[in-house]
Amino acid sequence: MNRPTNLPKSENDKLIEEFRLKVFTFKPSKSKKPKMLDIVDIQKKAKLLEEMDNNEDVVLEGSFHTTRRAERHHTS
Amino acid sequence: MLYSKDLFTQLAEQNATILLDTNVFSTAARSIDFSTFLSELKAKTGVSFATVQAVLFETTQGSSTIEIYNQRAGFVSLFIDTMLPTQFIEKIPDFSVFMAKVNALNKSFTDFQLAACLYYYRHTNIYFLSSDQKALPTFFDRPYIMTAVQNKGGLVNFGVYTFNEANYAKALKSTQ
Repeated sequence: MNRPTNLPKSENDKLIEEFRLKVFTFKPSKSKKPKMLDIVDIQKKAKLLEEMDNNEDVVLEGSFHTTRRAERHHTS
Repeated sequence: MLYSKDLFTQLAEQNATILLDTNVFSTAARSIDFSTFLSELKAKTGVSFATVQAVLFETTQGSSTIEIYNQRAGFVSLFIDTMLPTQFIEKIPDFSVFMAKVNALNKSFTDFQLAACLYYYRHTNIYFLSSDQKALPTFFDRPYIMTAVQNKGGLVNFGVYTFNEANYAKALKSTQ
């Protein structure tokens, strides 16, 4: 979206503009080494999520596994 | 877990980034087989995992408490290295118009953003992992497929997708 050109540029505007430029020129970084996955932690949290999903007193309106797109593979 | 033997060796040579769809996280939460595979894939190939905010939104949708939201968001963050920005979409109107033509039946903005990432970052060896076979139009390649076994025995098929410049140009030409 173009900002109105008749507005004066404040310091904040400049910072926003710099941020936008950074975002627009973003490329997936290869300088940082990808983190390794902690499979024990993943399993621990997966179990917790499953327990939460199974607990109807806690999950009122949906669960981690019931979003439409998350489940699309079951019908395709 | 079933997958092509070439997957690890080919990805290892590319320093690739893999975009993860919502179904990756829901399957990882109920498949030790699949989450172990993702862990090995990273360890052996050095790929980085990324996603977009819309996937995080879908993954946390239906959270009735902040605790549940945090647990789900925390689960996603265990996997990903980068949350890709999508503000660049306003810079690629040609792609947006083309997708509106060839992919009009798919109304998911998440799917569109993921497709746009594959297009925008296409020169950086970026892939997309999803079990949703209808997420992307056919000009995207699916060089690898795999099958994960869930803890309760069910099977889920995944595809690894990538942008194909030649197919895109061909499809673009056919719509003009």
